[in-house]
Amino acid sequence: MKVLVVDDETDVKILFEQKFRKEIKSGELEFAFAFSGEEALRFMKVNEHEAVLILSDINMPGMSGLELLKHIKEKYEKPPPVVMMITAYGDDENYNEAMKLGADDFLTKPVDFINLKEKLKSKSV
Amino acid sequence: MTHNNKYSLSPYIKCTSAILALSFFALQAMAQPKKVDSLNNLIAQATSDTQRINLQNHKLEILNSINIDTAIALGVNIINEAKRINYKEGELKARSNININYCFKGNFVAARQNLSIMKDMLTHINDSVTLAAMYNAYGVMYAMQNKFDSSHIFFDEGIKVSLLNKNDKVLTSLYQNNAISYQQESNFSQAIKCYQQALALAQKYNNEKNQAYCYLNIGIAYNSLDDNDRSEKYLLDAIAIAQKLQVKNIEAYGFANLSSIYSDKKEYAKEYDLAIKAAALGKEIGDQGIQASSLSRAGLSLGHLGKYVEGEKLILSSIKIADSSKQPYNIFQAYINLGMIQKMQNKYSQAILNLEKGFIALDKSDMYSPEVARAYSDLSECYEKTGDYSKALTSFKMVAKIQDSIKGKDNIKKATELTMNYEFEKKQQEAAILQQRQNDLAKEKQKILIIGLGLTLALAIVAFRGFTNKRNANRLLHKQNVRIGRTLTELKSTQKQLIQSEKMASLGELTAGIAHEIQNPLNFVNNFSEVSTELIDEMNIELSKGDIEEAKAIAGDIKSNLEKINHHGKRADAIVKGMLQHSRSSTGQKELTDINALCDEYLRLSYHGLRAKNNSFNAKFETNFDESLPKVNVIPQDIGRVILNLINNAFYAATQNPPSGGRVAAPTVWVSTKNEGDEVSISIRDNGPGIPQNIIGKIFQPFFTTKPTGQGTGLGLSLSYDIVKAHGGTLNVESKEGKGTEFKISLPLV
Repeated sequence: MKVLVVDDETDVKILFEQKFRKEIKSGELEFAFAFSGEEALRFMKVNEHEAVLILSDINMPGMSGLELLKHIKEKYEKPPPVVMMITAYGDDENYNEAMKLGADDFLTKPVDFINLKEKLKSKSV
Repeated sequence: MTHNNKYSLSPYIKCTSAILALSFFALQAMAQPKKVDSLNNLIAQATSDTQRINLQNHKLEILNSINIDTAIALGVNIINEAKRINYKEGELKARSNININYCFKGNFVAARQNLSIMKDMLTHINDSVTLAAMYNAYGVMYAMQNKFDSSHIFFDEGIKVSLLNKNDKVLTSLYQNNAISYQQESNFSQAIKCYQQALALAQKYNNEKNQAYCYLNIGIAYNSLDDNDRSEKYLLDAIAIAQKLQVKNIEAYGFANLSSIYSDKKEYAKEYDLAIKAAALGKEIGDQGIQASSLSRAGLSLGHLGKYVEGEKLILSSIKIADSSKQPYNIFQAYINLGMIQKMQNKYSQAILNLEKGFIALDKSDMYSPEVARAYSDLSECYEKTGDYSKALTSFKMVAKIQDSIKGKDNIKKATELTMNYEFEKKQQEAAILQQRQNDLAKEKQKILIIGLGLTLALAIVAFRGFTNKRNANRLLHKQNVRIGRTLTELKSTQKQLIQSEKMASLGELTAGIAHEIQNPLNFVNNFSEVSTELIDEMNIELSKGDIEEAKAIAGDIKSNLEKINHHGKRADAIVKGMLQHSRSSTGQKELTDINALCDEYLRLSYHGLRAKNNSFNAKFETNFDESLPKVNVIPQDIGRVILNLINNAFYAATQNPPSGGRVAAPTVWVSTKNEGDEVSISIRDNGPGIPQNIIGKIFQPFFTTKPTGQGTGLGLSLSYDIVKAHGGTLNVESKEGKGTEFKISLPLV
């Protein structure tokens, strides 16, 4: 399963690659990275329907994670990819907004990788 | 002596007469008052005497702000009827409502008698609400006779009682009246504080009428602080509500005070129109005080327009009305305005006669207002013209005495503001203003010289008296010098405190951004250290399997992780250090600084701070840093503060809606740097609504802010300007309405 991670912090790439090194090695999971909402959209245009799961930060300069979520859920008809939101501010307003826009899950930073791994595995089955 | 006088006296004299008497408050219904008509219906249908009296008391509360004479007549009726059926509560209520109307009429004998009856009744009845209302009425009575110390004692006592019995209706009235009392004493900071307490209560109950009262009086207080822009805004707000709710007295006072603003602006035709409107409204509601005061103002404005005969006629008619109002300050105003219009026509002896009459009316009151000072200053000039130098000096000393008193009562911030504004203008070298000031000083000097010459003549004749005078003058001069020195030290220390508090305020805005900025690197430190532990376990497994190559590869990953941990640790460290530097009060040392990194750091802090504070915050930023930028020798935390401040402003502006409504582009802030050869420039640009041309010249002035009260100190740009200047650089602004604003910092490389 291909997962697209969207975050403005570039070091998340190295972190995810190491945290999921076993899964990547075994081919169970495949990761792609985008460092802004705009870049994520460009990636999805070029690699249509390749990523089935998107993991996005909310607070990014330019297009925010929520705008990206809205765009994906409106524009990608079938099947819309699974979108999980990650944010440093786990407040009700962000949560409600994300859920309203159709987010499939909502995680707060710091990310619990054990939990995330389980979630990804259950989605990939 | 002359040299000292010109500084200690002249800057405080207001050029035109300022503030009118204010309205004190009767108790008002907290809810929106029902129309008198529908109340009359209810009164006619009342099934019991007590019910009827209660309804009539309610009507009285409404009439209080409509017509004083009708209110008194109704009040007397209610009192008689309540007495007849021995309904003490109803009688007390009517008495506490009617009292203020006696005061408005200047009938203090009736007021005092009424209060003394209330006092007796209350010794038998335990009613803390009416007790507080009585204290309120006492306070108003003393305040209207300018006995402010006594009035504060009663108001404070009433406030204590009302806070205990939680009657917000009486409490509102007490706060407002106490505020007016302070205002009349020229203690404006205390007055504004009390109004804010009253305003908070009015907002709590969504009582628009009381809000209008507070707006009106805050407007008047700002006028006294010479802040005409704020004053006008508050007065217009008050008038708008008053017209909507048909509250004539607020409308009248609103127009009257608005008129005084135009007098300050020397727009006399407008002053005249507004004063006439106020006078007509005053007549309609039976308030002779405002009627007299407005008519005499209208008369004086005619004088300014060169229509002396008409003006004098109008003022003479106002004196009659003022006399029957029996309010000392209104009588004073009418006479001094007459004196002033006569002075304009060089009729000095007549002017002296009327000015002196004005002061006689003020007798026994402790009214120390700029208006009184102005009148003494005029009187001094008239005596000087008629050759009576001794009396000219006496009057001039009165001006000094009042100025000192006003200065003492004024809060220190106001004084600092004046000083800082003065400093700023000096810096700006605004030639026109400077020229004006020099002219004024020269005139003042000349005036004092003439008085001095006259005095010298007198001295030659009466040598001994002259000797004593001189000795006294020297003593006075010495005292003044010491006092001025002390005031200056106090001002300097206050200024330091203000700068420090501005620093702390902008630090507070940063806190959320800092938390976010530290949280991110800390997450990385934790994550990379955890994953490294896992990697070491895996490496050990590979080693025991004998796969040295794989173990080496893992060791390489661990090494890069340790570098990441170090990198993010340093990132957090730098943020904490920056924060400490930012709040440090002593000035830092100049060092070679990477301006691009500084801009990037504060841009992130600002962006995340705003984002964390406000979820709906939505703006983009773009950077364009010139890689060839050399390091610049600056104090990094100071220049950082300037950059932060400008970026915060830019985000604030970018997210404001344009006044014309409708927005084309997404809110965006651009930060760029450029190597200009002998200097570097930093540009911070937004696509907000832009700065209107009429205020762009003021934005670097201390305390100037367009943000709502309490949201900005008005010191940010002023301090930024000073910091850039101290670095030998320049801070410029260009703005197009509807397009956006660009601030440009230029710093020299040498």
